[in-house]
Amino acid sequence: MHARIPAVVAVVGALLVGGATTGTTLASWRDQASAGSGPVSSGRFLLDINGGGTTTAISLGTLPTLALNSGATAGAAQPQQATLNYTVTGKNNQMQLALTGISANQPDLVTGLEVAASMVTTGTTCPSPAGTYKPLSGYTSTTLGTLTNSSGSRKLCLSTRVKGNAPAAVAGKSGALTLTLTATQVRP
Amino acid sequence: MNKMMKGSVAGATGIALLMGGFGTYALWGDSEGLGSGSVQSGTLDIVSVGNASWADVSTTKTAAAWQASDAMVPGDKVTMTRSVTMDASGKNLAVDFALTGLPASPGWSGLAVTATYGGQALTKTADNGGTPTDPSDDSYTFTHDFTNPGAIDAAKNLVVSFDFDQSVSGTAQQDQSVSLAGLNLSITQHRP
Repeated sequence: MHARIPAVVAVVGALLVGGATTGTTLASWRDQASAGSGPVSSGRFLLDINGGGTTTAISLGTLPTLALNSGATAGAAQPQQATLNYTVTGKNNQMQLALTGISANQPDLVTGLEVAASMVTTGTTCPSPAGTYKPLSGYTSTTLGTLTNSSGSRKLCLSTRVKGNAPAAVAGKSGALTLTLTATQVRP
Repeated sequence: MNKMMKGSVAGATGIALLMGGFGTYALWGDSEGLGSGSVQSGTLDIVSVGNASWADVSTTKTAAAWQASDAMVPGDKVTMTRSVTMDASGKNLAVDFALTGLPASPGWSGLAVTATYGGQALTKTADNGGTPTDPSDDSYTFTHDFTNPGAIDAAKNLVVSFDFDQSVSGTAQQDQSVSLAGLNLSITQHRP
């Protein structure tokens, strides 16, 4: 008789636990629907020079020897070209291109040279000179143009010469010119 | 049947008749109709979800049409709007509103996403997904507890806004994409 008591207690306990569990399974109205749509995507803004890949420095080759100025007349210009490949996608995306800086690793070249730049469509001959000459010393940015939503190529035109008032020290000097081309996203 | 038996049957019949006669008595009685209005249950139903419409609401320009296939650039803010019609009624009906299934897209760090329903801003929370250490399964959930069914009854606009940070620079965050295919809207009743 005494042996049955634990069994009875256990059964009652199980019922209580079962009752408590049943009591928490509340039901509620629920409905759902798909609200899906097409994806949201970002565009592209890429530029390379002569196929050299994006955001990399490339060499335009050796510039022929520049003629010295004579009698306060600037030396003859040496033209150079490069191909700009661009990709601009996005509803409100345009690429503004500018030659934002020119420097030289030889101080006399900085004071003695000037550069003109412009951009034309592929297949078009570069103008001569390429644009308005600007001295390397204190160079101010030259806007080349704005490319709209598409991809393609443009020709970068450069003209380099010895300034008319260049000091004699520029003679016989050699060095590397570094041009900084900046593409800026602008909203139409 | 002998005489004694016949006499007993006749006597019993007589008593039964007398008792039947006693049962047909009348008492006062009255009745009134207690009819009233009906008892009815409420409703909670997403009746329809309209097609998505997109708009360019960038602050730097006037609102213009946007296609789902258009790509965003830094400074863009676009909205996806879907008209949702619900049928919600009930004295003690409060509704948990949830918009789920928007990938957090950690690779597109410059994109901020917000959502409203019927003009009510929804609260955004991040869900770590099935694998907490895997950011690719993270998602956002937008919720709000509408304590008044009138706030969601009838047609309301669900608006999801995507704001691409203007300060993103260099060549960052290009070619990103967030799938909206898994967006799911659910409403769940609870008592206020």
